[in-house]
Amino acid sequence: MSIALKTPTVNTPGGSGAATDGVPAGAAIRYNYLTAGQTVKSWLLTVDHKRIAILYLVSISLMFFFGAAAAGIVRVELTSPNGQILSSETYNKMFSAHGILMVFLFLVPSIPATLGNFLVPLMIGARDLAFPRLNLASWYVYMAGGLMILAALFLGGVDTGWTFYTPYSSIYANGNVSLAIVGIFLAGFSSIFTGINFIVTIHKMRAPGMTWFRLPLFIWAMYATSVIIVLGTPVVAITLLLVLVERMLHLGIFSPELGGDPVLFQHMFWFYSHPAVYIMILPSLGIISELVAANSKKRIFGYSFVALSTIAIAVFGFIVWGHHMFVTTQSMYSSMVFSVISFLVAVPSAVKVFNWATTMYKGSIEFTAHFIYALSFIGLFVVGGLTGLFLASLAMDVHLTATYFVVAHFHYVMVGGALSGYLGGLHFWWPKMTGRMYPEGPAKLSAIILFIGFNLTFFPQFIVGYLGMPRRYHFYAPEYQIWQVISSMGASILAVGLFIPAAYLIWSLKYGKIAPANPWGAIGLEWMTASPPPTENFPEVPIVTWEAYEYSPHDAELAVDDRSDMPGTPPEGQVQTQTETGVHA
Amino acid sequence: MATITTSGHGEGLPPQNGVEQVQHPPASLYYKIYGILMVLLVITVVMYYVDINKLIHAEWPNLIIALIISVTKAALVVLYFMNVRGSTRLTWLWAALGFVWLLLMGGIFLDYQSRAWVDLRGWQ
Amino acid sequence: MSLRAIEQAQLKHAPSHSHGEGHAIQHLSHQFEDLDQQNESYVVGMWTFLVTEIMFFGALFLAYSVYRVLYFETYLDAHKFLSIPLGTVNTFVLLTSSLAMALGVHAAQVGRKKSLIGWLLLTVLLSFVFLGVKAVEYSEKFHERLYPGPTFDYVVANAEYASHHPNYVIEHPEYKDFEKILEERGAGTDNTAAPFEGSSVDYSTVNGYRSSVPGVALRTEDLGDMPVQVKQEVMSNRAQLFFSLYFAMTGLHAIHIIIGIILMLVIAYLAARNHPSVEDFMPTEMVGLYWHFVDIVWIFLFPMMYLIS
Repeated sequence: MSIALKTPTVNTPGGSGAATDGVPAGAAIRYNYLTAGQTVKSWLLTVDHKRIAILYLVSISLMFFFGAAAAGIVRVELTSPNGQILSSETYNKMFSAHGILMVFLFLVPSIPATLGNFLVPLMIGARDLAFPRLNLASWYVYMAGGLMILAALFLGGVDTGWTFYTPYSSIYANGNVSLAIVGIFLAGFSSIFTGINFIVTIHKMRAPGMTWFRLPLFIWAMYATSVIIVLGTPVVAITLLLVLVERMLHLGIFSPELGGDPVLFQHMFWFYSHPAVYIMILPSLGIISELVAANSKKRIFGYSFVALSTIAIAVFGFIVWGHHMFVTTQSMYSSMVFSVISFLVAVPSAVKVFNWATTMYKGSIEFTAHFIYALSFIGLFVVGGLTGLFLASLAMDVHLTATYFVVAHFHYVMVGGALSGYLGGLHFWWPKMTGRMYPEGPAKLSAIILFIGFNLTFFPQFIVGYLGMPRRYHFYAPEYQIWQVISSMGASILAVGLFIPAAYLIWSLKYGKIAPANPWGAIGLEWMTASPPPTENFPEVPIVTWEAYEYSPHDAELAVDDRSDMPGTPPEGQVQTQTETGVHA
Repeated sequence: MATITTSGHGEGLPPQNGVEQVQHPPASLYYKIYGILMVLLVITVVMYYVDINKLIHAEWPNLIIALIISVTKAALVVLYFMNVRGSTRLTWLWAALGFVWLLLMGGIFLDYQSRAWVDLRGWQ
Repeated sequence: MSLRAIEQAQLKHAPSHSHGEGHAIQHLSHQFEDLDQQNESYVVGMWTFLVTEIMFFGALFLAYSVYRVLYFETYLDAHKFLSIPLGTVNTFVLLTSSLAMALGVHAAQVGRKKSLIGWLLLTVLLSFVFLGVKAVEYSEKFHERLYPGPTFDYVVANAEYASHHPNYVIEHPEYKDFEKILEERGAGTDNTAAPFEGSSVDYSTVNGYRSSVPGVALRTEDLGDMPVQVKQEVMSNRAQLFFSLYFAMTGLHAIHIIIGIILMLVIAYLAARNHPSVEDFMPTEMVGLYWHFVDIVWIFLFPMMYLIS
């Protein structure tokens, strides 16, 4: 069942349109988006969506590193119930730094700005995004915001948590809350720019024949994500801006002294921040659809249901924000409505999971590293999603709210879900992005280590949360220590599982095998151009005449092939004219 | 750059052949709309001084009428000054979406309106 | 916002397509197939951006509405400090500038450059008039001690108002003697914190009076027969909330006006210099869309702030 990768074929120079046989790999200078310009200026002033994706990849990885370091410090501290390493103030700043960096600078932009930026034009057969300069501007705005946030965190720190609840953040908190808010405001603008770009691109730039229901599911996910970004981000921007003017200009809109309602802040904050959860998870859901189809060599079961469930999640996600506020003064009647709608979100999520499972059934499955990521995603997402139902039920939430149960729940969705999807996608499209294969052995190993480390870190937090330990506590009752120690042990395994991919992916840039145009035998426009693609993506605009994921039974056998020489030709035609290179034994 | 002769790119518009697709409204239309807007502005201010609420001892009419006039003015600006009327259906969709979504956010009122329903006697 | 428009103001890479007689010349960027696709992309992109603006202002309007429903009595009382004539003049000015902008876009569409520059400069002039009136209003508020924060003093402001409006004194005799009240309260008294006893502990109760809306601070109508002093302080705080919203909303709107002025001046300058990027009417049209949106915000702001009844 497993098919080993055979000698890759020679890469086709983009633009020539025909395979040049006999040229050894690397002998000629291959024309692609990476070699199009070598100067620093050619990178910093590029309007090529693929280069901007790489810029984002580097900067987001940097932010992830800082966020993970803060998490590491928090986990080390929590091995002891007596707070022996950090002062309470530093501890508060650490978990705030972790939350702010991970949410606003890693999770929200991670998949849209890297894989999305790279793949949206490729997958729909466009030369670039609709507004290339806006795309570059979005990266600069992101960097400006990111550097401000880093400055705020390093020069004094912020101890409000990532949620900036008033009146603490507006009246009492010291530190660089204002600077951090300006940074988040800018980061929000950056994702708005990306969102606008994707929406217009997906509406207007699809290749001839690429109808809505022929789009890859990743594009559907990107579209839904962009809509959420456009509708939600401005609300959190204005909300945090109001906190800022309260701190700096005395305009006390949430101030209880004046009769302002801090719960109104929470309403407005969660009107964005709950949908923001879907900004983080929907792109991963899209990636998993791609991975499952490509590794099972089958069309996604119930394609249109999966596509529409993406939109349904986006819409439902906007009307459940009140479930974060069950234990505030929010009215009980309001809470009941929010609770019921929150349960409804489970329906489209379950549609996706069942359809993935059905797609894999009787598929010819290939256990590549990215497929292991996909499988671990599905498992972790189910756990994360189902525990979300516990929290959505009113009575249960009174016990569990603001405990480690909540922490574990959203880490299962955010880390188990979003991060697994991101890593899986990064592996899957790594050959396309860099033109090099990653080493399969270490990749599989690290995927498994990551899965084990993750569960060891966060499953104990369900237990300790259910037992009643509140989140964000520096000192805690000693009977919880054993669970916190297990969790910290898991975190160290998790860290190993993250360092290995970082190492071999960087290694593969120089020493990895040259990637063929379509190393996984997957169907999709992005696999029909060279790896890495030329600057203009396709020699000529492809014309799409086939459905999404139209794997023929024959495709399953010809798992490894190279379609680079025939952009724009439907898969059936290609299978006929396929050379025998790379066909497994 | 590749020259493309296929049709149906994007939303399936016919191929561009040098003929203007977007309809530019004549300048006289703008003056007419401006006139209507001015009339509506005068009505808004007069309404305030007349104060129907006091005349018929009701709480809401003034607010509702003021809102209807504002929405009408905004709609005129969107449809004519911003030329959504002569635009594609896609533009209509995006022009409408923001206003519709704002109503969804009005769900916040669900909370404030129903807070007083809770019987507080036991709570005190 | 400005970035979007600047990007469009710079689109000039691709081969130009002549576009029939009497029309502006348009340029096709490399990523598009044809001008229809490009033009609609810009319009939809701009509208998508305006959706974010609608949500941005909309959230503020919503916060305003929540407090208006909760503290309607205070809003009704506080809005008397806003000058309806000035507000009406500003609405008139802004609607007229919108007309000028629409005619400017029309001039750009039919390729009349001089007329385009003329309309743009008229729009800019009108927006400066708007900002000037706004500045007058703001300075009045500062002078009347109605800017939120330590200098806010609603009692003195009311007393001063009463000294000019005899009718108000009949309804509120407590504000009769402006000189005395001013002397008692002094200049710049710090009134921000703990205005009445027990307030720093629980904002929803005062001496056994409990707010009729759970989780929301005490409202004036909950106070019943409390001493006038307490009522004044409660009213003063709620009024501070009203003016916080007033300054936040009109201030944010004014920032948008300033950005609009910059964009219009850039377009007018480029057009005067015969810059190729504004041969295309799309940049002007995008700035026009933005400007009409700013107008729409004011269309709602004016009755909500100035005309409360």
